[in-house]
Amino acid sequence: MAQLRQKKQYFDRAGAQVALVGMGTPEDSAAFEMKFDVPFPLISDPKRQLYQAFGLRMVSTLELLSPSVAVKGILAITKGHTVGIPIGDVRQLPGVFIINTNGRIVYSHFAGDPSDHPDPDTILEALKDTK
Amino acid sequence: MIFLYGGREDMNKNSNKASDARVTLSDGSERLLSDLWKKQPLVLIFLRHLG
Repeated sequence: MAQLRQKKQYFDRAGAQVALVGMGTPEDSAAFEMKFDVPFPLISDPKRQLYQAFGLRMVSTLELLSPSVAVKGILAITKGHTVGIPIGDVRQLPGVFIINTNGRIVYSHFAGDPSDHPDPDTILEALKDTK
Repeated sequence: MIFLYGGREDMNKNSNKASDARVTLSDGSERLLSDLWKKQPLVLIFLRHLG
């Protein structure tokens, strides 16, 4: 979240609207926004309907507990990422989509594992192709 | 509550039309997802979880 927040001005300059989707209720989402000073709209999707609609899959418990995921988690913590009590199903994989003004999906990233996030610069680079 | 419009099978392929949905924001307000991409490209980031 910190990386995204730091890049907000670049997304603004690129003329893009950024919106987040989380699995909490509106109240959970509002608390998250306040805690992490989220500068983007946050959509509440407690039933994961939007996650499913975009084809984002869930990992099995076995995948969630795999050594490679554990190592990535530890590395994330060493980089300063905080770990709180998660709201939502931790088996849900994240994803990123860019939708152009014609409503077409022009970029998609389906996480291969729970720690798989494209960095903001990759998303910004992909935004150039939408013009 | 989120209400989806259109075919969901198209949502996960590049260049396909994104289905629209009525979504609820953190302040409890509702709006169409398409409102967010009408004037500018939308970067839609699905979080793994809140927290």
